[in-house]
Amino acid sequence: MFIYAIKRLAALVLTFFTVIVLVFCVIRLMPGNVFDDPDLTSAAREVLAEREMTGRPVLLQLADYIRRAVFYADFGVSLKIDPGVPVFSVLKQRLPITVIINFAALALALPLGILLGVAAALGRGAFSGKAVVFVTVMCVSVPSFVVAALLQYFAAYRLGLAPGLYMPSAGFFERSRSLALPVLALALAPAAIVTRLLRAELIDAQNTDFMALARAKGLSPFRAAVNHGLRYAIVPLIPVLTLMFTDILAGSLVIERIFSIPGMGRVLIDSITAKDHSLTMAVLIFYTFVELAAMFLADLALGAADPRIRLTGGKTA
Amino acid sequence: MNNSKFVFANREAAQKSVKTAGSSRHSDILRRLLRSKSTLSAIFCICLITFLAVFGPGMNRWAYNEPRTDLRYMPPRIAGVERFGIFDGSRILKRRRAANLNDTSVYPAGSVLRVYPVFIEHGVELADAKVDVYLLNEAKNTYFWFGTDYLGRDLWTRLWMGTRLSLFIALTSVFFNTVIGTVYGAVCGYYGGKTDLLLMRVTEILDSLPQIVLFTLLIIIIGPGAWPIIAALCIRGWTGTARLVRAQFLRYKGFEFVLAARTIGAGDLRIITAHILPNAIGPVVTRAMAAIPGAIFIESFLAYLGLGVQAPEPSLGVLLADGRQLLTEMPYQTFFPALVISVLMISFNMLSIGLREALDPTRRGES
Repeated sequence: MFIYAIKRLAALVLTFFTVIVLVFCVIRLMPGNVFDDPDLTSAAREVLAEREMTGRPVLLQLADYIRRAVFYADFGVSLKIDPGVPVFSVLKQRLPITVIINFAALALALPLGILLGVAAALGRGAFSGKAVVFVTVMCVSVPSFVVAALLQYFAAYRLGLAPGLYMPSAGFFERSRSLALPVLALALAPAAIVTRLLRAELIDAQNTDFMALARAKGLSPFRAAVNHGLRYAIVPLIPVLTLMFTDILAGSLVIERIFSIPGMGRVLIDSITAKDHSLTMAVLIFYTFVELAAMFLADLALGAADPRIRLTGGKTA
Repeated sequence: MNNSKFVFANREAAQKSVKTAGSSRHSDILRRLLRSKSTLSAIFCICLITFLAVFGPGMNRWAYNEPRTDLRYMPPRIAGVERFGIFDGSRILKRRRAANLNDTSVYPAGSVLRVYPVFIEHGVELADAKVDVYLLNEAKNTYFWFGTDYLGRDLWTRLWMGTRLSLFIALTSVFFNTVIGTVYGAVCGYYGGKTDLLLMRVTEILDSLPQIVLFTLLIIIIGPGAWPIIAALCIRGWTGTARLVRAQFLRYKGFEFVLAARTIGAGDLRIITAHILPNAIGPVVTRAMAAIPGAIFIESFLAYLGLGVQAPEPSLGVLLADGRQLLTEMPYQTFFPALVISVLMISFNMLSIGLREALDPTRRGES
């Protein structure tokens, strides 16, 4: 298990490094980037030349960038969005809200999906498989921003159930309430995915010998499904979880915009349109890191759940 | 015993009746596919939307990027339907001076359809009124079926032009991905060994590149628009298909029919294209169908963020983004594109599920 973990970690660190080099070279070498901006004052240009080493070879710039990022958490200075403010502090300020809505969405989607998946598998007689498939396909298919718009119009504007926009300056309770709709919009599709997958896997599990044994020793269908079936059904769910997590992360880009939440997604979009490339670069590194970390955790979970995977290094999966 | 009750069976007819046409694999799949009502309705919806995306913009006299600054924010109005009180080009105007509502120089005769109870604010009598906006703007015989946007452009035309562009981006990228993935996977699976190891390592590296990073870089390099989206969708969209095709090839290349083909002297290319590929084509088609809604989603997602297709070209995402600003006052501007994109994505997903079930009836209901 330990060797397996080290192997996966090494592969992901390599990827991480590759992505950084790629992003850095694209942003620095591209014509028309922020450092060639003719509107830049000569003072700003001097600061840039000193800080970002513009004018020196790109590899040197890259080495310096990585050195400063690793040792001083210094990702450069924002030039357009928050002129003069270090990128790190811009991001530090935007990070919490993004983390909160992403984890809240995940924390809502997973239990909900598992609950509905078990219910759908056990209640196969009550509602037909077709209906479950259709409803879940609908939840998966309708884009999150359409769901968000519908929620904003019906739940917030027509019915007044929750605020339609994020309220950053309100008290704790009101502020959490204003996050309800964005989290719901983000959680719907992942919950549907979990439901559909889990239902299929649990129905699959019904035909196994160990489920027959569990029923034979007197467990109710519910207990059998929860105690024995879930363990079997959860393995194929793990790789989907990483996908789900990155989907939620990407989804929060647009959800943050719709509900005007000042998070990481907003910074990324704003920095691209404003060509604030130091900021773009740092946000991209952040997203890469989070995605790769999620992948690593999923690899570990898969290895822990299925010995075949950790022994063969994931080749059979 | 009375034999008269018995007659000889018409043998010829009996034999004829059991004779049916043999069913080939393909007709079998088609029959199973068309038996499912949900698949049929999905196909119908896709055909309808595609038809409207092709011919919809030509159905009325407006051009998709022709601004009419005198007729901005017009509500939907459809001839014939307007009599039933929907799509009649009316809007509820809030807080109007009650006295003006009867003044025909401000509100032309017949334009005020209904006046809600009068209320007094700051000593002024105000009322909400349902007003025929077309009469108000002296455009009595004009019909904007889905209304107009903030520049007075016809939303019906823009909606179908936008659907056309979204579909174009999705279909093009999925086509390229399927072709690249099939060739790549076929080579990997058929030749195996070192070739396979090396080529599959490339797909692993591509797969671990985060999508957000890829899109951002391409947008920074090429600038926003339809082609960067297609390019970004094609850079790593094909790896899944490649893996799928590779698995199929690994499975089939040991079969007797491949050996037989080789024995009679078929070359590699012929074995790949004529003997193995037809067996692998089913899952590839299913996968392509399932990839289409994903591509539509990414296109509209980027457009929604302002990083995708740029004005004045419409796409479903652009229309949704435009409509968002006016969500509370003019929900219809969001409603129609939202409906089209949702129906389109649901239909493609249902179709891919139907296809999967038709190709592999043993997996029914799993999906």
